Amino acid sequence: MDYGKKASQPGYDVKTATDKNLIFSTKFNSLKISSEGATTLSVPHSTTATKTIAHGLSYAPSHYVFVKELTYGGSDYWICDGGGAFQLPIYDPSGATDAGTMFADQSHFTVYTDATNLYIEIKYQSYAPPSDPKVFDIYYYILIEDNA
Amino acid sequence: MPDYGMKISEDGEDVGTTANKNLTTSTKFNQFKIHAQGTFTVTVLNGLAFGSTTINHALGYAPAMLVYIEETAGNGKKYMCMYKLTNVVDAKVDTSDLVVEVYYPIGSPASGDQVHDGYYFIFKDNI
Repeated sequence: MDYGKKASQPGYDVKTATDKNLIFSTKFNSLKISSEGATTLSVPHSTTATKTIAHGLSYAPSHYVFVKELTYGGSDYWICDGGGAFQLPIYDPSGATDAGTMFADQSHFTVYTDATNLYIEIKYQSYAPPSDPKVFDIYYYILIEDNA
Repeated sequence: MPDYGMKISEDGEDVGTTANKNLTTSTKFNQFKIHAQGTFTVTVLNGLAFGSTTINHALGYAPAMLVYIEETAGNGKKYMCMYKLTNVVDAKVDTSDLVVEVYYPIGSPASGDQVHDGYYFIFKDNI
């Protein structure tokens, strides 16, 4: 390609810098965001719920999804300790202290796309249910790039 | 759709007609911008089953992030968090920190200090 634009990191000559030392180059494809946003998903205990978000792209796009402010402790065993936001997919790390059940029947958080929608699927499971249903805060990015 | 901006197509694609996914760059679309990146380690100390490392990002909001780490210390195979094979490796972010955690199965604590190598990206983009 003998056209385009590129910029180098500080301290590197843009004409001689290796590709990994560029901060930007139109020579390479990049992850472009088609849409993004915040949403919620209400999940009753011991059930699986799915959030469906139409993307309007007509092909299955790549995606990048986070579930926010998860907590652990007391009777909640559906995610590891501490608050914060986790990237999906997530499987219940409590399996590390309860070997054998992690993938069998505890919480899981999965995400996938098809040619129409982004699907965020949450199974909410704990040994002793707290407030029910649980409302999960979600932030999603749907990318222009397909995943096929 | 703005009627100004810049777009560059992949080789062999006509920039005037190609689909968006065949553009290498377009100012029509937002892109992830890297705030910080680098190596880190998580050490699970001898006899323990948990270790963590905190990386401050100073953004004041929870940013998107991407983290890779060895699920098995020292084997050089870095998995994107979250992942579980034998151990659990996960990453979480809040308004001040990125925290990477490693859990070993109960009854299988670290034999000697176990150092898990990792690499992280923190983006400017919020979640």
